[in-house]
Amino acid sequence: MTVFRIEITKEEQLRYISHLDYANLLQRAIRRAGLPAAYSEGFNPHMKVSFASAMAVGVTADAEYADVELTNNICQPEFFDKLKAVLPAGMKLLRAKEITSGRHQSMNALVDTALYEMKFPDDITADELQATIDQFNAAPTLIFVREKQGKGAKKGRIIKKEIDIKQFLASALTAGEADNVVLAAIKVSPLGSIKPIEIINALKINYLPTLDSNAVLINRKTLSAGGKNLMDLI
Amino acid sequence: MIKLSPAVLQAVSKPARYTGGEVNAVHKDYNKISCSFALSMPDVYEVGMSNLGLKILYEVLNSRTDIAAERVYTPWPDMEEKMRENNIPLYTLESFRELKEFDFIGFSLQYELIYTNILNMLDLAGIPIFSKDRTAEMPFIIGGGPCVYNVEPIAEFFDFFIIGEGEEVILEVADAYIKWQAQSKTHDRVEFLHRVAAISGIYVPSFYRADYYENGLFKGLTPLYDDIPTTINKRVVKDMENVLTVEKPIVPYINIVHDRLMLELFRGCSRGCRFCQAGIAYRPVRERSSERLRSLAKKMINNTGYDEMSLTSLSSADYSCLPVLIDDLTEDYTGEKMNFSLPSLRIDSFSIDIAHKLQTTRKSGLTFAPEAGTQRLRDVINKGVTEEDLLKACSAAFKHGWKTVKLYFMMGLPTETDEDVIGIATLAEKVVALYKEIKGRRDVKVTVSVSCFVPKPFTPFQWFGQNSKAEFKRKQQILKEHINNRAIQFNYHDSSTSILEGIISRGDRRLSKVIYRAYKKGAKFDGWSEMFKFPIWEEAFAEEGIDTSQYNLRTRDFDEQLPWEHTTPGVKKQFLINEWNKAMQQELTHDCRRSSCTGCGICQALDVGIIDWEGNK
Repeated sequence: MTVFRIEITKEEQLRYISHLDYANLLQRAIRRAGLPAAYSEGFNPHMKVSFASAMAVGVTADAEYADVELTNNICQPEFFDKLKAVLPAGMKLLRAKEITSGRHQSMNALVDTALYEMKFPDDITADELQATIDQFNAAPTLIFVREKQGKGAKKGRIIKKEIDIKQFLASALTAGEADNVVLAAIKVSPLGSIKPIEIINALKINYLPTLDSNAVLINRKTLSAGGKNLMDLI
Repeated sequence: MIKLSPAVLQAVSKPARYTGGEVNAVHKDYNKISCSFALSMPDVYEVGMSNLGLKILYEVLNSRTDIAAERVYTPWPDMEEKMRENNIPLYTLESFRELKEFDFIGFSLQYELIYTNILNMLDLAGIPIFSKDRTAEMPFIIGGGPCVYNVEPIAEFFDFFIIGEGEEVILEVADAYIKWQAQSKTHDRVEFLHRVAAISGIYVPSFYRADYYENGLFKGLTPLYDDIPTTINKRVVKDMENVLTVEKPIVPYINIVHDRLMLELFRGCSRGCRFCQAGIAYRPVRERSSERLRSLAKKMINNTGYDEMSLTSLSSADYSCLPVLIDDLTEDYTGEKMNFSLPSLRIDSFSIDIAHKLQTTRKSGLTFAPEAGTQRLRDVINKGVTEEDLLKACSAAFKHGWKTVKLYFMMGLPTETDEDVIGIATLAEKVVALYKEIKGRRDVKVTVSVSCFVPKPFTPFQWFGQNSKAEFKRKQQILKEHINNRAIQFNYHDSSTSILEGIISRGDRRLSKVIYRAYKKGAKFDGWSEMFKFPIWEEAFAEEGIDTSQYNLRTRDFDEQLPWEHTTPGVKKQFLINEWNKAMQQELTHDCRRSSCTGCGICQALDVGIIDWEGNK
């Protein structure tokens, strides 16, 4: 048995696919590559591929991570070349590293910070955006009402929950290098997290009433654990 | 090239329906293209992407370096709204060119209730809905698929139709177009239509005049030119073994309705069920060899990475080399977690053993289609299945560990009595009792799905008057009262959609105006129950002064001219009449595949033969 950790992208072409579809895409590519994938036991065997995070529809990523388990030993260059050759447009293989330590912790449990960049549409001026960032950073708390479709006995109802956005931010919002870009470092923990779109909606409600939230492009730049890149943890 | 803004895409459900770029999608260099097709199934992406016919045409057309074939499906209403709001015309998923720029737009006509979507798509593309209003630079609108055996209700919207199997004739159409483009000085549409009308299997509706008697009945269809045929026989592929087919299907990014590979074992089914249009439309049976299928399977799996493949046909268990093929495939893919499945099961223990062999890991439910509740009615429809067959099949399934069985029936078949309807409940009860007898437990689930019968053109039941809405309702009620077992789940739906299907499927040209009016009143996605609004259609019929009962409820005379007889699968009318008469006598007709010819006339009319690998040996 061999496990490879891979660093792959989710680019513009794949912006609108869900996490599940993205996972499917990788699994089919692994099959096309003819790699000896390991499968779970049971009535409904599935390929042993685990992701570091689940990315929402509409979000791209400079780096996403997955651990891919294989049944046979295979050397890194062969694994890298075979997989790279079959990946679809928008999913680039950046790095692959064999996990040598016998037991590794799931990435899901390790990740603590995600850095997002949010590109605002042109009808928002740079001054407006800077003012928004400043006001947001100056506010002691910022309450956002999260709405969820009820499930089970609560089906058909909308469940509202108030959350303080600021408690989920690892640092203050900053302006990015490119025009109209805002950077947000979001804390990821077992206690929950916040989605970038929720920050955008909160900004709209509190400071930018004319903003069309759907027009903001979200990209995840990095995902890290204890300040380290996930590839460097192994 | 259309560019979609995130403000549009992020505001709609499932934006990946509209962004293309999937694995194996073909992107051509338009500098080398002499003829372009936009292929469409006028339904939402997930449904359209699941259609085998379009997959075949896509690959056949794109195999040519001088032809481009791209895809377009119906935008869901949320996307349609955004497109209209932002003046985004309908475009294809490969080059994002406007539909208007294509030479041909081909619509796959799978069922009558998607016709309004075609009108809506033409409108979204900025193309006139009626063919007579289209000008020289506009694309030709083509229709093909199962509904071509009566295209009169949509005759006014299409430039021409392809009758029968399309993978060969579509290239002839493309060649005719390329030649015409090179030769013609005027580029007059009618000139090209004359050229395609000369190709076997092509029907140009505007070259015919429809006449009616004063009492409203259809009188006949007359060609307007001397060089136009009076009847158009369907096209058939004579050599299934070597014809180009799917090897590199597109792998969608999002989950589609049939999210698996489809390996087409054979075409046609000659069991002769009298209600079944496909049985006539795809005759004769033509198989592929198991060697060819094994190599096709390998190519498709290698090219896509799919882990599931459906062994597709009208009646897959009838494939003569099925055991060999399955052994070969399971041998090729041991240890690779490849799942093979049969979409349709014959009601016998052979099928169950095969299904058991295939589903070694997962035991999802089994589906059988006895179609009718009593032996008498099953004989009327020539189903050729007895109660004993069904119980034997279920018994084999239960012994293999299945505990969910789905049974399909129809309601409103010719000669049906209340006793036949109640027979459905009785049969389901017997299946439940059988489970208890075999397993000594009660944890079985039997789902009974009953649809409303729609008589179809070119079947022995094409003259039969469909049951009324009230009659369907009454029968559904009776059945409901007779199903009292908690292990049985009864599924049925309101008959309105079947009634509309019944009107349109045996309608004539006068219905084009009704379909247009219904579309104008907002009818779209009529096949989706949550979108279907019957009152719109009732108004549209009334406003056009159409008495719908003459189309669906009336039982026709054998000597009456039928509006669909000129676009034919090649079956002899006398055969259909004989079959109707035998149905009334509850007399069976055997399967012609391995015994004597039953005289439907198709092989002779089309000069094509049965290909049966086992029988050939």
